[in-house]
Amino acid sequence: MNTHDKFPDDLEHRLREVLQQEAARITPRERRTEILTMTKNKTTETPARRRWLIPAAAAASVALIGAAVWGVSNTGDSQQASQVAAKPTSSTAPTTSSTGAATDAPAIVPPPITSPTATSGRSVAGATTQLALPAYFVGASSAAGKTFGLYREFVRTTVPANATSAQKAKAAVAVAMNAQPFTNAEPYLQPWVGTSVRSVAATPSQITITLSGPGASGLSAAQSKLAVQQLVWTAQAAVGRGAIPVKFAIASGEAKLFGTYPTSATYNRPAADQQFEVLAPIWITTPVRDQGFKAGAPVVAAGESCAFEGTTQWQLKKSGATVKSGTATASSGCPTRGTWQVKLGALPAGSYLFRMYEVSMADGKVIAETAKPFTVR
Amino acid sequence: MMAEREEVGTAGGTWAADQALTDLYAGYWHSLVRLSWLLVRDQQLAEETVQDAFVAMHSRWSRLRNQELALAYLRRCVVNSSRSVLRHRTVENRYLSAETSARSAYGTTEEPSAEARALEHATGERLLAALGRLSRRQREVLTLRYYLDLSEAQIADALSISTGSVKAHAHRGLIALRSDVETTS
Repeated sequence: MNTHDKFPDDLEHRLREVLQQEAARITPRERRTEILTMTKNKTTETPARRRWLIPAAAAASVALIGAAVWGVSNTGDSQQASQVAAKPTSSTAPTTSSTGAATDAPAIVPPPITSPTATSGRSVAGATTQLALPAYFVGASSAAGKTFGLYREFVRTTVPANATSAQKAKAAVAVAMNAQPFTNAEPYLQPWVGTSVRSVAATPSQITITLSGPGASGLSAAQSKLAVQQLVWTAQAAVGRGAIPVKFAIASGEAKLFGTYPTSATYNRPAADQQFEVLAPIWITTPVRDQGFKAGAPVVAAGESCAFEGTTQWQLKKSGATVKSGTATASSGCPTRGTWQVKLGALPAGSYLFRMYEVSMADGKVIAETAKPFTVR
Repeated sequence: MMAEREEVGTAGGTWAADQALTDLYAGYWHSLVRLSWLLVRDQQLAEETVQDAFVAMHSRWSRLRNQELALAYLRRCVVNSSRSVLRHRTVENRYLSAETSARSAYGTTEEPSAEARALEHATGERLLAALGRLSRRQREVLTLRYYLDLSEAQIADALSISTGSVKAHAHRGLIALRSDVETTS
């Protein structure tokens, strides 16, 4: 360095300080579960290449990531976007063929639930990419099946390589409307059976979802309300710009969803302190369903809850027998949704079920519960 | 132990990749998201960018095989993706209009008005705004150097340029920054 690189003032010092302060303005939200889910849903990678190819592969994947994150809708860039998108699909994971070959995946990947949605993707090679999109489902929130709430799943699905937020929202809404692949494992309802999503349009101030029909019949008032909410939450999450009002249109001409909710109105997710009316009281976000852990490695369960005093009970079951149990305290009690964590420690190999439930302070009955199976090998 | 795990085949490799991901996440998730945030000025986009970088790293673990290479790979992904985000931001200005922060001019190629400059009275604000007016490369080099404290070689690797270019960008960037801060003060 010559003397011109040395500044007499403390510019460099100030720059360091300002950048640290500026960086500290945000608190990154935890996304470990989402990342793990995305990697579990991913198919096995292609065989290792020669080392000198790594930078090229990195650059190519970066281009794809950029396109996927941004979701370019401007046609002026579409040529460039499709060119860069074509590379990673051939050099990393050929999405169409590899997702079909779910049997290639290591045993650690849970294929039965993700594959039906993955294979329903478009067959056009090179123009699509896979994204893990959050989708909400209406599920029973207690064993008695009398109360319901929304549960969130991250589902890997095929979208155009340069998908706009509206295209992502349409893909996510389509996933959310098809609960069937989950019904063997989860107590999810199918309020949209027989109905499909025709289109989704998104502006900064409104999301419009056009459905083929008004939804299934025979649902209770509480269930149909949640069915509308699940699409609102799913579309808003995919668009990623907060609680934008959602409007519905019904292609078959009806004026009301489920005969109750007029298409002339707009719908939104409730304010934070009212969300307990919509979301299931307990979510388990880790382990994800059928996640595999290495024997000897500590297993930590985590999730969210909205329970009295933030207190919930848990059980760890192996082959139906409870091997561990305890109480979890969430970061806050209802009506604020809190997060909880349970350290299960290192576990011997086997199939497990982690169950989390809330007991009524009034009569000792279980008023909310959910469970996730996982394995240790 | 590590070498053993990697040689037991696909399942072991997957496990090693999971473990690497867990370790790297614990160590670098926050700083990488903040790096991306400094470059794109949108927390959600920053989180998504870094999330995708981790997923990409996981799928390439068998080729990276050690944490240092994996971290370098993550940095490259994050910087490159943040740049793509910015490139498209100039096209898609709806995000700009959605930003309410006084720092919304940061990261654009447009020169802020004289009034906007006059408003940048606080030193930190002024310095940040000046940083936002540098060329993309200069801004990246200075951010990597002064936020992450990376060496010239590490910056060169993250940006896929030579160390000579890193030096040149840092030098010119600091000069421009200094003159900008002085003229606006």
